[in-house]
Amino acid sequence: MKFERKERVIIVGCGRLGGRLATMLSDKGYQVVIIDNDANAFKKLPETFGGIQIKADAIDLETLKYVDIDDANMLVACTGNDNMNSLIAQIASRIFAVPNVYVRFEDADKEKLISGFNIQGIYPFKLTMSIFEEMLENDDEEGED
Amino acid sequence: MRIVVAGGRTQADFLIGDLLKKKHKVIVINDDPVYCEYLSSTHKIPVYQGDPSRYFVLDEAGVKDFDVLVALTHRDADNLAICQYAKRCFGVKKVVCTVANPKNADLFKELGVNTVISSTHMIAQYISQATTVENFIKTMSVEDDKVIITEILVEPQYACVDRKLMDISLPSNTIIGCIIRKSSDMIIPTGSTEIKSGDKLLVLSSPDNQKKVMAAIAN
Repeated sequence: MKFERKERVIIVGCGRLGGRLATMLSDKGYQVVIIDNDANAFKKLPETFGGIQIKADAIDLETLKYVDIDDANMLVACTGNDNMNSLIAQIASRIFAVPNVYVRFEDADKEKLISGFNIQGIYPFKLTMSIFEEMLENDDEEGED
Repeated sequence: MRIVVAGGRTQADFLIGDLLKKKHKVIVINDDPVYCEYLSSTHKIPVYQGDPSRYFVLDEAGVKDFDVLVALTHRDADNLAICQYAKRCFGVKKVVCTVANPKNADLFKELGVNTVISSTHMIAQYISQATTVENFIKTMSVEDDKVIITEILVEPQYACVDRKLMDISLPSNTIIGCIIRKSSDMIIPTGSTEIKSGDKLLVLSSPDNQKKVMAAIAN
């Protein structure tokens, strides 16, 4: 595993991905802070969730300072808005030098906004395509046999 | 200059009109089809309908190597994305945007936007400057508040009346750049120019020195 336990993780956006990721990391022993500007979003978290929930606007610098972003080891930007995710990831990486920053983009072209920075992009579209590509390659190989 | 106006409603409309009057070449990208129709019929310029924070929209609109891009959408994060695409991918020389949250002004500059305009910030600044001393008729900031131009009306009781500029000790980084006198149009003063009651002085200084300048001229 890349990260040591007890390290602090900030997750921005409590959607399906953010909620599940927060639960998983918290269960594994990480200190998780999850931020969403909609209190209802936290309903996705199980009752046993051991992390901290913050209802706030994550692109406000005060919010990020409040959750001690400069002390965090990892931040995941996975709100439903690509531009918001790009902004949050850049604040985390370029302003606060968070060592591990991940950002989810629906539009794979948004990679151009973060290339060259210490930010790792996650692209559901590319992941889906690569699964199909792999599947088709396997089919071809089987066909050749 | 070749200028892209991305997003925005009424401000976009006004800005486009103003830029065209000044003979700039303007193209518009706006996500609202109805507003696009309105803009293209009013201004007779190329209008592209689409979300300007998407790469392919900027690409199809052909913003490559434009001189200036202005992002006016109501979402700060969208404006940043538009400006960063324009600068990083399309070589636009200068990118400008508005922000709704005044705290984002400094942040966006740090992230590469050349000029960030926050109307809330400007209003707050104007009020604080306007209330410093009542005799400051007008104050204008240039170069991101590094320099301010203050207009001071000289009252008859001021200490500087009928004195030469060289005899008035001004704070450092300060200069009386111009005197506007009723009897003549304007004077670029030298050390031997005398200040008269009723003169309007245009003073260049750093913002910190504004109060000291007033004290030097009045007392």
